[in-house]
Amino acid sequence: MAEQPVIQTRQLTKSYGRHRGIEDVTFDVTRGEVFGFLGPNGAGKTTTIRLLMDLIRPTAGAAWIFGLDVRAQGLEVRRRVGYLPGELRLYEGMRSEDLLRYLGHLRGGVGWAEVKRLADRLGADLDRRIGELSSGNKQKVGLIQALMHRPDLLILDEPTAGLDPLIQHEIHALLSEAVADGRSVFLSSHILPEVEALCHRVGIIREGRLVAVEEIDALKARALRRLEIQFATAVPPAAFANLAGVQDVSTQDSVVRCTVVGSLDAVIKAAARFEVVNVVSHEPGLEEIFLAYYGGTDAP
Amino acid sequence: MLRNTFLKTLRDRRRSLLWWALGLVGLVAITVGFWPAIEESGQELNRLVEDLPPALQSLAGGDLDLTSPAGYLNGRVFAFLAPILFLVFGIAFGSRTVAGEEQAGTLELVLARPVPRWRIVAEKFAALAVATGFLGAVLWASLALGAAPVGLDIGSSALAAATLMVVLLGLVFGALALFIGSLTGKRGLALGLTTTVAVAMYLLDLYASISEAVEPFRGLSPFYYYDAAVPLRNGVDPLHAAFLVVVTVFLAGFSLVAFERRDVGV
Ligand SMILES: Nc1ncnc2c1ncn2[C@@H]1O[C@H](COP(=O)(O)OP(=O)(O)OP(=O)(O)O)[C@@H](O)[C@H]1O
Ligand SMILES: [Mg+2]
Repeated sequence: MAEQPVIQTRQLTKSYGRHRGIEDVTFDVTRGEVFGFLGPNGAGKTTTIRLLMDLIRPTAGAAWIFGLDVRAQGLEVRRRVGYLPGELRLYEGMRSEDLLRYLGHLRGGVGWAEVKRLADRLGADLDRRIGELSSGNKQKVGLIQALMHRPDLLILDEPTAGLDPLIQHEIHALLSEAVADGRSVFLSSHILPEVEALCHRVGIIREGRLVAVEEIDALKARALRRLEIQFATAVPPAAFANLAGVQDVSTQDSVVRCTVVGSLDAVIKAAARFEVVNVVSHEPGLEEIFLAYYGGTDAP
Repeated sequence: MLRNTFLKTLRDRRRSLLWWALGLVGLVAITVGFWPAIEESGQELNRLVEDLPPALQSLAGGDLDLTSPAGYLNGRVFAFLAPILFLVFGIAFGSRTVAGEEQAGTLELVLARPVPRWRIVAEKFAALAVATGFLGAVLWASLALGAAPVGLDIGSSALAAATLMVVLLGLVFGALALFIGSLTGKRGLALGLTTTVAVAMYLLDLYASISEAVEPFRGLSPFYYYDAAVPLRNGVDPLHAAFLVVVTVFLAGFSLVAFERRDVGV
């Protein structure tokens, strides 16, 4: 029998009055995986996550976590989930330690050793008043409160947004540890490298609709890659026409630019017939990934 | 102080409570301090009030003899100042504790814990009740202690009755602010609407005391049940007190239900 998914949504839909939130979002997250929820601003990532946390209620559809209905059995769900909001707002007047103790008590008490361990691990000073902390240090407090009860599932809304690369890296390392420990993670992001670095699978959401759920490797394979090849001498444009997966070829004297879907094999072999000076390949960004899924094909 | 939302909410207000308490003690000090002077020049003052139009008489404390201890305390404290202070305190507390924290976003992490929403609101209401009660106790104690040395002869049970009614009045409007905040999540709305309702209710009671046309609607106003003069003379009217308690409990109950049902933080 198939294992119970950690998160399950079916036709999850939320409209804010006349405004679109999300529509018909259906996906599963399996146990032990890191699932990335990728989408541009306003796509519906936060909406989906707040529905899972039962902070807002769906217009239609339903969601389950550990097989429990997030509406009817939300208490049990929240016992086993750690949550980091996208816009973290902490009681500014409290010291970090006091806030964490309060939030711990609301869980019926958590082991303080784990809080200490996390604080040491992240280099967070819990004596400071939260109002005095930088946004990076606030985010550390946010992560500690999400992780301190060793939850089975972490739901993190853009955990590294707006933080410098050093702290981003620390957070990634911490999450990798949590995964190695057997926890599942659902995180939203609009940064592809972050998702690449952490996630096994990715759901892509755009304008409220889930447009794809893919293994991270498959996603990259489908991505458009922009390629720029410089030759020693001018090359005939015809040499790069009609190659498998190669589009938008433009030739300018000795430089050829094109867009490639998936494997670079055909274009590299075509180029090898001439003297190549330099090849510049741009790693596919979020835009390129989106282009792969919408690229002109279903444009009106 | 951080074991639950009830204690946490009180802890958040500890400084503000201290200032409020000091303010009340100050009000009491000024009031009892002037008593000896008033007692002497009493008759003239009474004649002055008798010449006032009825509406202003009721503002000054109704039909009580202003130079009697009960009349003096009523006019100086319980007819106007104390109700205003307790209203302001209750409304500010009630509107900020749920709607204010929701708008600030700080409630999000609290609601992500395994605690039912109704329970958060219930504990916050309990904190409101205890904080208002605490201020009532401060008012009572400082009056009881301050009155005797200056010969302001009033029984501590009459004082207790009057302060109890002020506390209940503050709680009615605090609970209304809590309810509007829990229903809408908008602190400004809770603050503004409750204040408007309070002013309207005060005016209703005032006009009802001078106009026969408005008189039948007097029972709609909490201020009628508050009826400042009576507790100082006769003690608490159980029916009046019960009415304020019932309204408060209903509003608190509605708050729990309203908050349970809706989207938070949108
Ligand atoms: N409270 C609200 N009222 C009205 N519309 C809303 C509300 N919250 C979100 N929306 C709309 O729902 C859509 C999805 O928003 P959401 O916040 O879920 O996006 P997101 O993917 O989290 O974006 P971001 O990357 O900017 O955080 C947006 O079009 C937004 O305008
Ligand atoms: Mg968001």
